[in-house]
Amino acid sequence: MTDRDIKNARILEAFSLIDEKYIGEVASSLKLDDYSDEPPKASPWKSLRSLLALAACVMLLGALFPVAMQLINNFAVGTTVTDPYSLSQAELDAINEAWGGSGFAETPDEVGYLEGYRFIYGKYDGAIPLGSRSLSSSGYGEESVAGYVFEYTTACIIAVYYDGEIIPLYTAHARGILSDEQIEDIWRKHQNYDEKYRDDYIYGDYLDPIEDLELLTKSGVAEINAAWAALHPDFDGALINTDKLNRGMNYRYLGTIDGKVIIWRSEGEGVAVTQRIGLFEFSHSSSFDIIVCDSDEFYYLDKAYAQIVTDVSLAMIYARNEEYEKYFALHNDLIEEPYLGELKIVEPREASPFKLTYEEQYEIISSYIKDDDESYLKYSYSVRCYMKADGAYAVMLDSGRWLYTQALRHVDVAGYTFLFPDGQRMYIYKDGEFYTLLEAYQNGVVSRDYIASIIWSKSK
Amino acid sequence: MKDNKILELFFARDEKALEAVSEKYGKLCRFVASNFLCMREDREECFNDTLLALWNSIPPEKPENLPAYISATARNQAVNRSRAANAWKRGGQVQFVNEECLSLIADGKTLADDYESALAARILNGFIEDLGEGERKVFVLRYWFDASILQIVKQTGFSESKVKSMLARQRRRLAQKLEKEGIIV
Repeated sequence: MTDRDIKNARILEAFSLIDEKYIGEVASSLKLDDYSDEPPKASPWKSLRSLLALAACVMLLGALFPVAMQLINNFAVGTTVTDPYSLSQAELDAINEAWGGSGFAETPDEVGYLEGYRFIYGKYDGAIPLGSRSLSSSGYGEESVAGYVFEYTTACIIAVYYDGEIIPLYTAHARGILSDEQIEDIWRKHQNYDEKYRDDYIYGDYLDPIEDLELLTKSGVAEINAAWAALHPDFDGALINTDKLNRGMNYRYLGTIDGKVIIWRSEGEGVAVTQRIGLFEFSHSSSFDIIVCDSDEFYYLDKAYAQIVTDVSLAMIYARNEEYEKYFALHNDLIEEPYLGELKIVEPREASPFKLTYEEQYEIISSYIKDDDESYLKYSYSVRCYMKADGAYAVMLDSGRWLYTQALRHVDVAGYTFLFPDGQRMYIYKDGEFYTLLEAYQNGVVSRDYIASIIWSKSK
Repeated sequence: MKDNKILELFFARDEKALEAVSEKYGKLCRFVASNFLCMREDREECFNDTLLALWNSIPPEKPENLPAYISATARNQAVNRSRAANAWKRGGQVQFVNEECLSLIADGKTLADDYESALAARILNGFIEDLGEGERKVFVLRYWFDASILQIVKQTGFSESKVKSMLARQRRRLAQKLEKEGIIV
């Protein structure tokens, strides 16, 4: 934590202590008669009553019988969800609770979620400008469209979905898909949106509030997600609707097996658990669930096995899970040194050992995104560097939008084995070109010593 | 329904208390949440969380100022929800509008020590007390409710430029006051 963080925290704490009489005075004087924010379709009290009843039962049983609580939890949410939208409110509440509080749409034909924490700026004659705030903080920049300067201070870039593809905002304008007036409208919304997520002190104009996530049809969402998937060169497998996987839980995408998306979920802490399903004994060192998503419906694995997962698929899921467990054990318990013998493990999620300058990052990202039509994406990427020598950079590029397949991946190069925990690749960048590790070594771009020097960052 | 009647229902553990809060203060809760949560689904969940929090806290709490208490509860729920969501998605960094006041101490100034927040709050409340009614509303809307300029314009009837200049003046005066009292050194 920096000095600035500490200072900020103190001042903000003071602001949170504003006397209640002033808050009450303002709260009582607010003119909210015409304030509208879509009311809940179900009575909030109805939801609450169900929640209270469930919470009371679980708390009572939990206090008395921890093991029973697990069973009750499993029972409460373990029912196979064949049609989540036709369930009773109590069942929905139980499921939502199991998902950590994230909500299901109640009207599937009208409501959709954009994956990847994106939102939209509205609809303009079939064109849908999209923003994303899930990207890295390195994405500063701006672009000028129709005379309006869009500042991307929080890596929130705007792209446009139109007719099955994602295109940059300026392209949408150049092609006449968006008019000057529409660009101005989007700019105004962006100004207001950006105000709240600016990484620096907040100045500037405050205009109309951005529209909330508009309701899209499910098929509309699927189209948009498919277009995003087509853009990303390293995309590996199905997209996860991250808006449904929320609230402090850990998720891993174990892969798509037999057309079904397999997700591993854990609260991060808990007791070691095992669960026998079919012929297999699934285990983990902390509480976990394996969840099967099939056609937008979610099942716990044991229930899915009873109905939609075959024995062969179950075996594959078991193997994937075992691989992940192995990685988990290696990562947490066994490996203390940067590498163990000839085995290197690269942990992409931790801070990279080499800090690159902004110019270096910009050069690498610009080289990675060669297509002018995708140049706007450069704001969304960041670079992690694991080795830097002789003009060669061992890098992994993050866009923040994608979940990679969670399965161990071995890459053998120059007598070393790199063990990656997921599908994200490491590249060697040199003189404007990207190579895989193996390509770089075989083509003499880097030496064996260079390969040996790539640092596993777990201990950093 | 009057606030004391609503409190009586809470103390009698009568579920109608929540219905009454929904009816009377539902819009207030959503207004508060809307300044911290972009997604409508989040705001609705936040509203339910707020009702649950009220049900769990009253009793033993017996708020003297129910709208303030409800606003604070809704705000806490919204902030927590926003931080939780962003912890996963944005590395835990969330910034709200009231952080523009951090510019007060941006120029190498710092609070004197770890125990000064409460003192700062006391001075802050004294500062608010001295403001006129309109100015107070603008200040609290901006820095406690996290309202946008447009919302403040709607709520106060002041022009946009007037609101902005009022806020700029208030920040300056508050900085001077904090400095004078030794909070900012």
